[in-house]
Amino acid sequence: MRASRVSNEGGMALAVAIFALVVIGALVAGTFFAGRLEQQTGQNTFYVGQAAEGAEAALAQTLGGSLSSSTMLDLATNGGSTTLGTVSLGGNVYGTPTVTRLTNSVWLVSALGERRRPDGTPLAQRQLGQLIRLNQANIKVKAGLTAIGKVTVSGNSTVSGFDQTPPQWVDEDCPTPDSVTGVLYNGQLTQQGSAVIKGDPNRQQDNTLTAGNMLGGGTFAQLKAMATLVLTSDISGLGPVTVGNPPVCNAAVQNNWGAPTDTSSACFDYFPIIYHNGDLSVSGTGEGQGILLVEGNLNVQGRIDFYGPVIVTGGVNIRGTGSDDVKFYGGVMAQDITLDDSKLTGNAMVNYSSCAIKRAIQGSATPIPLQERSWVQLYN
Amino acid sequence: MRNRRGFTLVELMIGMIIMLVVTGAVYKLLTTTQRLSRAQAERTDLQSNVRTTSIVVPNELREINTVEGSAIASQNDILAASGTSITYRAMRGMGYVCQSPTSTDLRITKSTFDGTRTPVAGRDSAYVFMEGADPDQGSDDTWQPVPISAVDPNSTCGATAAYKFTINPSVATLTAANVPVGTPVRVYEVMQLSLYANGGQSWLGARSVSANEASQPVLGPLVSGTGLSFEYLDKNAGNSMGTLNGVKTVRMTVRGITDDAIVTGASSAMAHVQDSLVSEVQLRNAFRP
Repeated sequence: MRASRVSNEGGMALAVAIFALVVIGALVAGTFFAGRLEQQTGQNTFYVGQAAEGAEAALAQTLGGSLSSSTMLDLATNGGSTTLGTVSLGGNVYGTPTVTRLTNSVWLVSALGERRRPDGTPLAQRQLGQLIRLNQANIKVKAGLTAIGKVTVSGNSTVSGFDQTPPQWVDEDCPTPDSVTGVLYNGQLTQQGSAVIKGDPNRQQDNTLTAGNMLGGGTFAQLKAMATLVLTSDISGLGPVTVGNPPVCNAAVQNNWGAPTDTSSACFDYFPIIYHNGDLSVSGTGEGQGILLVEGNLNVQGRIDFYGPVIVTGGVNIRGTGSDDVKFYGGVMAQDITLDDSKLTGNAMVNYSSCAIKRAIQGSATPIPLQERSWVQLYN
Repeated sequence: MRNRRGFTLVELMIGMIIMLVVTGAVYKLLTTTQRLSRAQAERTDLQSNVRTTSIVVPNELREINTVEGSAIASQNDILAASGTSITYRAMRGMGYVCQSPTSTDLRITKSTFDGTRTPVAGRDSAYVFMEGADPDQGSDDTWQPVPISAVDPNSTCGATAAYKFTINPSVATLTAANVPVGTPVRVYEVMQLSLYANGGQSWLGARSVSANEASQPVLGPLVSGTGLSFEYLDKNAGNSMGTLNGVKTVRMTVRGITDDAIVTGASSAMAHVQDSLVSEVQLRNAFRP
């Protein structure tokens, strides 16, 4: 009897409870879904932000030193491009910069930033760009020797304004030779002994020449601010120094001023902007290249060859002794602020070389953003 | 009578009361869950609105160029600004000159144009990079503003597909000597972002000033009156509202509000909930002087 009574019982509590559970479950599931969606959206936004950071880091690293002027200049105009090494920020965030040459003087660095999964699959990408150009020393060399004050050229020394390209640079992109004045001066020029002054013309006095306009555009202070090698003492002997395998030119060594005539050296394309505060003495043997800035007097003796502009706020004293020559290819400018004489004696030689000047200026240049509208968000 | 089965009135009453209590409890549970679910959805929308605004607006403003000095005012992209609106040149793409231009004809390679959309006449203008007199120095470089009166998307540079911009009025400095092939061209339109009120609610409003459009709601709702505010900071983080060419950073505050009133906290009180986010946009092209 009890069993039959139970089986006949009616009611809807179970159905109501199940219905309620289903509805509540659906609502809770919906809430969880919305929350999950929100969390995923936030995470994706975070990933995109990380990708943008990767792209920014790649741009910063490119402009901060990983891109050399020689790499930029080697690219063909209107589309030549090269991809540089990928930058890793850790946390699976990467940035890969590509440099494209647009015109003779403008390049685009486009950086692809990625937030990847551990297996390398991209989770988010962002591309940024920066229009850049080369920041070059603003120097216009007008003569083999440009000087203010008293200038003495004596002994067997030579000053030439005839444009000369060093024979080792036959394959370099040199400008068409264009000769200039031998000695351009504002003061007194004395030629003694067997000294030779030649050029087109061989000498010219310019009473408007001042320390302010001698450089033809920039100022000594501006050049000083671009220095990449600051000397702390006099130099005895010059020579290239490399480290590692494959060898990389060691820019930290004070007497490494590049390897201008050794095309196989890792320092062949190293053009430091060398600065010394105070009188500088360079002696011994060796060669170097770049831009030499001396805030004081420059004394050179021995068998030293230098390729590039030399700018001195004081006077220059270049002494070639006996068979030891001192040769300068490029141009020497002495602002003679302290009214010290500039002297070339012995077998000293100063040769104007537009190629040495161009190589030094371009080789020492660094990439900088265009001064306006350089940063760009890319979408392709 | 003995075989009759059924419930007494008392049993029925007790059963109905229990049923009422149980049904009431279930109903209460359902409504509470539904309110919480709705509140959660509203909060999600609110946070999404605020976050999206703080992504969209900085993306718009980040490329703005400002230069201190009145001589180069044409290079300043913030054209007007207030606490609740900003009018600016919005960069829409970049391309590269593919043949020597004339004063009325500028062509850029189609395949390498990179932008959010294709150039549109009547909406877009352009800046063309101009190398200065000394090609070795960057200090004399500038960008030439160029009005675009027509865009031909099916033009060519030789065999290369190109966008052809007809320039009116003409720009005399656009010559083969000044603008070599490969020169970058930046396409922009003048935009305005503002707090836009409509239907008793406020929104992030956007309009193309150069296309003479009316403002359209983009994101929201935002808090009326204070939902969107801008501050303009100079290089020393001082207020630069009065000197727009000195703006280096734009600080934006977004205050979102839920569309409907929702339950807040443990109580069953209903209210509109607000959330806010402050973003600082470093203007990436405002590094001069």
